[in-house]
Amino acid sequence: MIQILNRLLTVEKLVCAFLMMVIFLLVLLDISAREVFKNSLPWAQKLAVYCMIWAGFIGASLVSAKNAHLRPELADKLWSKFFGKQGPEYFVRAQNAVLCLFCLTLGYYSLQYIHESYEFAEKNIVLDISTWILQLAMPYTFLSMFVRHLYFVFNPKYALSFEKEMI
Amino acid sequence: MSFVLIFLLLVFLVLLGQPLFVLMGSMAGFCYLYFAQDSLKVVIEDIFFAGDKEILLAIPLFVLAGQIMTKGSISKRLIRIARALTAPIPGGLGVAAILSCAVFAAISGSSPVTLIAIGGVMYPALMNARYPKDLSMGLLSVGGTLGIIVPPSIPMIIFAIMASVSVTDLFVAGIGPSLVLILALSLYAMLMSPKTVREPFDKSEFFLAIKHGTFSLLMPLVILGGIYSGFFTATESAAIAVLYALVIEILIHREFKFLELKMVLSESAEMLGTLFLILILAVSLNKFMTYEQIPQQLVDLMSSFISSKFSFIIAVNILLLFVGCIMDVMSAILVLAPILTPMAVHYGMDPIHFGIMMIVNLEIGYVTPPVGINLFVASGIFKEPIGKITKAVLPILVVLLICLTIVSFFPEISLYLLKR
Repeated sequence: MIQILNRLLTVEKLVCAFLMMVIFLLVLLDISAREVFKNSLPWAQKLAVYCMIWAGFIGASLVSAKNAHLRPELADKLWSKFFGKQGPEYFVRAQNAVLCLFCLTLGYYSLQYIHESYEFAEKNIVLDISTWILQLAMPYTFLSMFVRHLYFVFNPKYALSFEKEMI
Repeated sequence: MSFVLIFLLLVFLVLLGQPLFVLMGSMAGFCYLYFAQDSLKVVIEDIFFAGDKEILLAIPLFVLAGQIMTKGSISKRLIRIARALTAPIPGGLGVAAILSCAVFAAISGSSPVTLIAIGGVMYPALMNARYPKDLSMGLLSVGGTLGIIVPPSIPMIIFAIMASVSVTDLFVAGIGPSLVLILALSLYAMLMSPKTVREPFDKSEFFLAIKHGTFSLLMPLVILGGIYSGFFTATESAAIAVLYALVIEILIHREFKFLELKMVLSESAEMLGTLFLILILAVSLNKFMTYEQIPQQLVDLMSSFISSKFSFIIAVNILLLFVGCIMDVMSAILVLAPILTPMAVHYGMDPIHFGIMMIVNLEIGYVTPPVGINLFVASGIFKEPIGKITKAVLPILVVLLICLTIVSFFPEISLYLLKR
């Protein structure tokens, strides 16, 4: 399982790096077109925005791979106080179980939302692309995050190793 | 009853160590389900439209520019210029530390990044020059916080999105308060530094430093000049910053390898991913609150307790200083900007001035326990316990509070350049 997740991580990192580069190049292309050819490209910034949405969502999945999303840490020590040595492991299991539920719920509703876009054949006017293709980033990310957090539920030590790394 | 339920939900999620995006998403989902009897599909619709904004493009691009420059040699070159320039004045090295932080902040847009880049180089230099340890740690920890008030700044972009104001105006308005802070911190450094630590002005070193650091020094001018002159939008200036950073680090300084770019790009995407989910889910919650006129109801409620602009500014400053102690900057802006900005406007404050006041408040939060990020970063860099860093920062907090008072009660400092 961990090998599959690591491969997924490598692919996602590559995709993110590519998307970040595309965002930069598209904005630059738009500026050049406006300043050099006196004709801006409305599609360039729009496409850059959708690349950013994809990069933002997949980037969130990369953060999930390290269990490193920003969170209040007020209650972390309480778990060790109540459960002793086992506290951190119980904490990671409970934390990631709720995260799984959250990701699964949003994943399910984002699939429903995309299904509607597909049924109504919605299109982005500027890019002339079916909207559901642009929206696919949402269910993909929530599913990918769900799988990662599910892995942490069953392997809390693996999630805790990232916290030690950060300290 | 309903507010009790929301509170209980929040406590439950915090006890389980849930990330901020889950807190935001759960609250948005709960509000839509409980108050509007709507489907959770509305949250999904909201988050997709929240992400579909061109102004958001500035965030990944400024993050990317900051990452490239942190890996390169810009910070070292800026420090060399600042040191050569301030050598003859009393406490020159302390002033150099503040100036280096300010210029690097104008490039990176992030406080912890500024502290890492400048603190790592300046701390040993201050120690070698026999500056007191507390003063050195305090100056660098506080100097790093300039990252969010010196434009361009990522928290300013987030505020602009949440409060629906112009990012460019906010950047321009940030220039005056930044100068006030830089001046005040430099004066503090001069007054508190040992008077014996003084070096003669070395003309050849100064020109050599300028020669090696010209391109680094020009960068803030290119970014801010482009925005201020109206030549670029905030998003475009961010792309220009990336281009400029790439060209000078790869072709001129030659200390950043092209192969490192892939790693920098994916690291930037991770930083974007950390912010992105929180931001779009906060926008969904904000949309619900606006639809239900919650900020308006809070304004009405506040009106019965607070009668004047003066008392509003005092009350909000106390609230934000407290919030800065317990919340990180991004969360505080995402939660409070949509609620407090309409109140500020109701009491006759300019929303841009309010935004700057909020940013200065939260800047102080970077160095106040228990969640002052710069305290943790400083503890790592200076290899000292957080308690010691906090003690070192305390006297300089007084300077920051005086600056906050000036920025709060003299809106011209923020708005002067905008009115020209």
